[in-house]
Amino acid sequence: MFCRHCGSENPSGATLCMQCGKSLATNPYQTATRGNFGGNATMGSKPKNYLVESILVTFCCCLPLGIAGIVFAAQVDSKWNAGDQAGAIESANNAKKFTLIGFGIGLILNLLIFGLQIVAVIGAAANQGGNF
Amino acid sequence: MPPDPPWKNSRALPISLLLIVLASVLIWTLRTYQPSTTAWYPKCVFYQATGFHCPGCGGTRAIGALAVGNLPLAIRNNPMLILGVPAMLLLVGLQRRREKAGRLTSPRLAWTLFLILVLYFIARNVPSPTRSWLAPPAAVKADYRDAPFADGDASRLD
Repeated sequence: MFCRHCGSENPSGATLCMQCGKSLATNPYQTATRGNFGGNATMGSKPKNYLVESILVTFCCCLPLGIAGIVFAAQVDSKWNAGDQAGAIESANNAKKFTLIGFGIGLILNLLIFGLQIVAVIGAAANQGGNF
Repeated sequence: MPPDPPWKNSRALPISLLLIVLASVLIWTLRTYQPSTTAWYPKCVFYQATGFHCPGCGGTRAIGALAVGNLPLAIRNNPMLILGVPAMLLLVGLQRRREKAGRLTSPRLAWTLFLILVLYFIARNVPSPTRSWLAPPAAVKADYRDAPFADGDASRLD
């Protein structure tokens, strides 16, 4: 990047000009692209936010954990766009945790209830004349 | 060098075959035993525990109605699952595509989806779980294969 004050070239990401010592980030648009959003280019790609998985858990497993997963997924996007890489990774881990726990609990509870209902249906049929 | 076609991937073929078989078994089961008149389908744990409809309540009946080609009844059972979820998956997919292309994406989409789901969750139970317009209709005893709508029946099996 070039200094806006003296025009000399500086390494990208530098905050002060090496020639004249003035701030390189006085332009608000430059601050936004270099300081916050530009970070995406150097920091790699956004962590997986488990948004689709959270939505599916919300609908399939009937648990508020899916909704918690969506909140963390949205936090990943928010923090990543604000340049908070560590926060985005933390939220991504939380999103993964809640989605997996929600899926696990939902699966176990549903199988349990499914089994109980099969037993109940068989029991009802047996009571109604035992021709099951 | 072009990327390998999907069938070159050793896992893609068995996984797609498995999904096709599972989907066929599911559709056959739903067509043969309609969820609204069959007792043994898994019921919503959240509804059974709290008496409130969750965003997914009526989902099995909705897919069951879809399996017999009754789209109005499917939408009546769970409009968000039948209309909203495909739209959500499409929007999230498009956003991922933009991200892969290196474009900036907004966190607005995820927060909007969160808000929509919470409002839907509330709306399904207002003024009450049985009287909400967005709640799944009461289960009916008769085979509803020819009926466009199954509501209006006050008797609830659940």
